[in-house]
Amino acid sequence: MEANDVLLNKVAQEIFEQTAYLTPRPEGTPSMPKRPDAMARATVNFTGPFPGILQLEVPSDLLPILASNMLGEDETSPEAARQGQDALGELANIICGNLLARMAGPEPIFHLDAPTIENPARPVPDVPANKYRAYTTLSLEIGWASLSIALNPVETPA
Amino acid sequence: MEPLKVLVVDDSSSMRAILKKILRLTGLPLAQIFEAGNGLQALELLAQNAIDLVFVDLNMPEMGGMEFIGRVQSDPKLANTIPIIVVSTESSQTRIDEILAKGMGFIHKPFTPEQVCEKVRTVMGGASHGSE
Repeated sequence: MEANDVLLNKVAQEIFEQTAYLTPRPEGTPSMPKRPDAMARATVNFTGPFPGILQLEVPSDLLPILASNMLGEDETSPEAARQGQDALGELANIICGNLLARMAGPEPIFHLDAPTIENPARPVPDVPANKYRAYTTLSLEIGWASLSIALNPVETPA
Repeated sequence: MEPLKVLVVDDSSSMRAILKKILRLTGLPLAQIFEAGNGLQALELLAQNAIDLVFVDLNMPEMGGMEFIGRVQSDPKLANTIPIIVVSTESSQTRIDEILAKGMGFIHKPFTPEQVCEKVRTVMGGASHGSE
């Protein structure tokens, strides 16, 4: 089982390109918004051979763009505005499913919970350090996205 | 071919919207596209309408895709009459083999419109349609 920043970045790039038609830029450090209410976060909890949590966070003003790209709608359309948060959740769901397959191989079965969406109080990662496994940030054509995956810690004998 | 009634089952409204849009690009004659957010809602729609084709996600609240498929297959009126295509991030070969063994189609997320169109043409090619 492998979980690292490089793999998370690679899978996230692929899904953003294929699903949201946004190409991550290799250079540059994305500038993060200062206001927490300017961010949106999707969280996917999963269970299986190793349970854990994946989080995907973007600036809120990216939501209608994600939805319009995924749905083929104009980003100013009511449909794009309506579907923004759901589109973020679906992206997180697809990234999580594909990442787990790369980590665990082709046999194990995972169950992914429905994504939850919130406006976070602080940037990811906000999981305890001992649970942290991988973190990455994508600089997109428009905006940025940050992702983390944390696995529940394996209990070791005292 | 008679215009088809299609049911799209996914807890993501954006994914349902994507599949509906792609379905309209397939060139298939469409009478109506129904939507359900989980397997339970989907079963109710199946009971009330002569559905010709179902797209279903696996991980959903209330009732997931595998339980939905099991319920359809155990219903004498529905079993082996409606083509079902599973659309999921599922990557477990064990689970995919299980789906294919049940006679379902499978599309892995992420997908392209072309992959969906091709799968629809494949499963509709040999199907016995509910509205026929």
